Amino acid sequence: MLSKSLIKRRELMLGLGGAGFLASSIFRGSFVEAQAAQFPTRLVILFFPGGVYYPVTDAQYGNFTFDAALKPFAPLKSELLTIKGMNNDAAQSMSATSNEPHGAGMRGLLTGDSSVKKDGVAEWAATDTIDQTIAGVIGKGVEFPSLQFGVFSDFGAQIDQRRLIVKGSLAQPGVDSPASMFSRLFGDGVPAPVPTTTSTGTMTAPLPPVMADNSARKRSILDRLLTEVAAIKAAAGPGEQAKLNEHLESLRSLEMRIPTTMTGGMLPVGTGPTSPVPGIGCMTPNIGAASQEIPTIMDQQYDLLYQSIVCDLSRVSSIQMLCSAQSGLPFTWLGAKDDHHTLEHGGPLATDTVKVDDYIMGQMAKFVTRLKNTTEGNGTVLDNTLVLMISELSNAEQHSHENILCMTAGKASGKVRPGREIDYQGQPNNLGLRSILEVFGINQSSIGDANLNSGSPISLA
Amino acid sequence: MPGGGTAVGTNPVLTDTPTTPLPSGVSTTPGVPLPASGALGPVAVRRLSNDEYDTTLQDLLQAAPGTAVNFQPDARNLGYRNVAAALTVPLVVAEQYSTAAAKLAAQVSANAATLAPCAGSDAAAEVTCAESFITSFGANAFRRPLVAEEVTAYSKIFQDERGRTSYAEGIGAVAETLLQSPYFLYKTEMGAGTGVARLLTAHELATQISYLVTGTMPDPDLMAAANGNQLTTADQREAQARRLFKSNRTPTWLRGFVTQWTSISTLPAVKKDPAFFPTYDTNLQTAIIEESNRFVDAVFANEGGSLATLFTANWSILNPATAAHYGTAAVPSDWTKTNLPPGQRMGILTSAGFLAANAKAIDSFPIRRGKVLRTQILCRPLAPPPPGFVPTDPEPSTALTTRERFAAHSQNPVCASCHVEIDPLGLGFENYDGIGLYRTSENSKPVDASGAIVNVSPEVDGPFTDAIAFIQRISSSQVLKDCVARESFRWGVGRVNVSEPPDQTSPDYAKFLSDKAVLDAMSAQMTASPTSDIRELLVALVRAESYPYRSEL
Repeated sequence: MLSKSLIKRRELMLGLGGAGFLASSIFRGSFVEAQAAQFPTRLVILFFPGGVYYPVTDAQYGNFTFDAALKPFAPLKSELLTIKGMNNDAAQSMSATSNEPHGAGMRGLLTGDSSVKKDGVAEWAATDTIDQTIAGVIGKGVEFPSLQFGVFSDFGAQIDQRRLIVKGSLAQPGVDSPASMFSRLFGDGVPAPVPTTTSTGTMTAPLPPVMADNSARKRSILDRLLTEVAAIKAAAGPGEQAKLNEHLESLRSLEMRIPTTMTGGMLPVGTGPTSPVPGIGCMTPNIGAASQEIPTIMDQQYDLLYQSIVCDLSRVSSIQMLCSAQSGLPFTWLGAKDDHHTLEHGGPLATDTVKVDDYIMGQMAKFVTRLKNTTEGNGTVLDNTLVLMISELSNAEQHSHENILCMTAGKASGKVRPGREIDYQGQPNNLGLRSILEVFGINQSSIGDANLNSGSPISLA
Repeated sequence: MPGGGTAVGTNPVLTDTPTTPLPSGVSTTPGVPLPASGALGPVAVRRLSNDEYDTTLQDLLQAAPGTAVNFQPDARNLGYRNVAAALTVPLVVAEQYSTAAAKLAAQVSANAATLAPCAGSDAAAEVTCAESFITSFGANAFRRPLVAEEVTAYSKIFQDERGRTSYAEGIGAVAETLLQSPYFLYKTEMGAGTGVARLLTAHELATQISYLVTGTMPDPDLMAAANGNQLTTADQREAQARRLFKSNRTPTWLRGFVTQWTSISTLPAVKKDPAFFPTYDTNLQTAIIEESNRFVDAVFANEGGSLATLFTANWSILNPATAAHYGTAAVPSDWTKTNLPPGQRMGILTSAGFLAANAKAIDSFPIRRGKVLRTQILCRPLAPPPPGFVPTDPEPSTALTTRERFAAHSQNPVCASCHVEIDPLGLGFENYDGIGLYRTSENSKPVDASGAIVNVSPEVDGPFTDAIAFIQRISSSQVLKDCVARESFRWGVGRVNVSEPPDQTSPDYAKFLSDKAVLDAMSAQMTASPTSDIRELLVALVRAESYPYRSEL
């Protein structure tokens, strides 16, 4: 899949637009040819806060069953791997020191790191979240090394309750605005690319001259910016190095989107992702008008997330639905008048809490179903994806980090064997995180807090 | 000086040779000698916030307002959206800057004949013209003169693009680079050299003062002062700050501090349940926000920035919708200074903006109001809830008043020990419902708006009859002055002041003392102002001995 700037120019060249192209025989013909080729493996993380509140017989300590909390997932059982018995121990030790279980939960969940919050601004984990480590391996050659979607993720009280993803010791913000995400992914509305497959199945495309000129300009600008940021980095103090490293890396990502050498007007092989256009589902989504309502934004973000996958704009993505201890945002359309934090603590509001939990479970199940219903080669997009569904608390009413809800969906291109349950029997989630890294070929003997890594990851294969 | 510990400003590391181990990555060169009260912070770079970026572009390039309106929002912490540590450039932000710079560069190219006029048309003449543009526009963009290497580098960018396309595009390419440059995007606090301790350059100081007071780049007078190295003394810095109080940027900028301090700025994100507040719609919300903004603007523009006026004014700037909301006798035309109903309203704490933002979807939620009043307005800490604490909001009721619904907090001894410090503050505001409407009864029962200030200070502690009495008690108190000093420090410096570490041998102890010296000076300046002018806090900050210094230790 080539960069969106190339797509725009191609559209101009060919005078074809939007979905009409997808219906054309040219596209379908090329797609059939491409089916024999490999498809990329992706990671998608779906985060929801506060576990699920269900009567003790169901939700307490990992006895999630498909007739209650996981009911929306019942038809997908064969695609799921339930990972029970993991304790978010890093969070537990942070929470014991700071008496703040929510932010601790967020920070320990995908890092296994128990570094303690400093006074004032939270101190982010020194460990990257696993999606970033995985993006370092599989996130190359596509437009976005990783994408962070949010649905009112920036809505809580404390900053460490609002941030899930960490890279280079810096929290990565989720993009809560579907309009912003649309603009990043699809610019001003682009049609599907025109694939021209060679005998090796690789996509190339002709480029108009103006493309080459713009590239040189962009490159000279980025070269200068990289020099300047490096100079500031050399003069700034140690506390600023993480920030400036991130800035450099962002500039390098922008630079990687510029085509490199031009040979006979054709984009050389290997500068972009070489996988053929996946899934017939790739198209510019029509996400509708901007809204401040949870269900609308949820739908829009999931739609964009789906398209970012099938259009191969990114292979590592996450969606953070709300944030830990989220207050102030009621779920009125479900008939629940309280905010998520209040509902997490259930009690007399239990029936409302269950409605919200069902809603969130339903959203995740709908997304997984959509991936399953999108064909890709001889299989489906879900076959080539690992969807990780996870929460930072288990029994939120008790602020418990034990037995967090964690499930995966999909086969990750054959590296995961779903349709079963794995039981860690009370071991730290650090082991589970390592098992997910292993799916993507990353073998680490330790992640996060070294003290939380004895024991062996259970293979997902 | 308390017994033991390090005296402020003496740092054994800054003698000839470091004798204590330095944190990793810190230069071993001592750098400049620090004054007795140390440095204001680490050797740092502070990215422009979205507001600062947008305003700066308006002043630098006459860009239309709103370049940053759809940008990724700046992270918020402890009330403020300009947290230096969280103002970073992840990919999504770099993309935004890139897209915006390209659009602005296209405008620059289109106006190249005016912005970078050139009489000659041969290549050499064009380079001369371009370098003139680079030198002058670049100095404005970087807020300092460019060095020779930079002029050469940008000249090359021009020449390469000129060779590919045109003179105008070459100028555009220069602008596109400058507008994404870290020297534009970051306010550097690095001084010269690479020592542990640094003294900000005159240009860095001009940038600090300008953004503190006006939220935008230095104006020509301030830039000239920097060029002439005329910001070295506290008097010189104070003179510039006071001059900038009159800038047309200042009231709106300082308004941002007040609306964040009081959490009024969060109102757009606070949902109200239409079943409980059927009259609250987007129009009313917009009007309430506009009213708060205009009231605070007026305090800075017309009332000498008076803290007392901010807290005790019996007027606001109203339009018909907000006048109806307050039930004023007069019906004003749009946005006119109007008196509020006597005995019902007094200053910003009884504004609909404050009351609605600090409430919940279904009620006045006195706990939140109490928390905000205690922690943000009076600057007192709250102990965290006990471990295993399970908060549940009481059910709404058509029979009980809000006070009655929350009675468990005072009746249950487990709750009461902490809630005695919170609830009586919030309950004192029960004459105002969750959207700030005045009420004397609730569910057919009379509203009891009595409250108490508990464990704050002997100066203000004690019961009060209602919110008006509470405001009267605190509005000229030292507690409030010290609190606004602390809050304006956090907002102005972009970080939380260092709190006292339990151990005086901790490396944070010297930092705590440095910050304390600044806070004490700010409080003192405020107290000395007969009109309790909030802007005096900023004067004290720029006058502070540590203001121009940065240090890694």
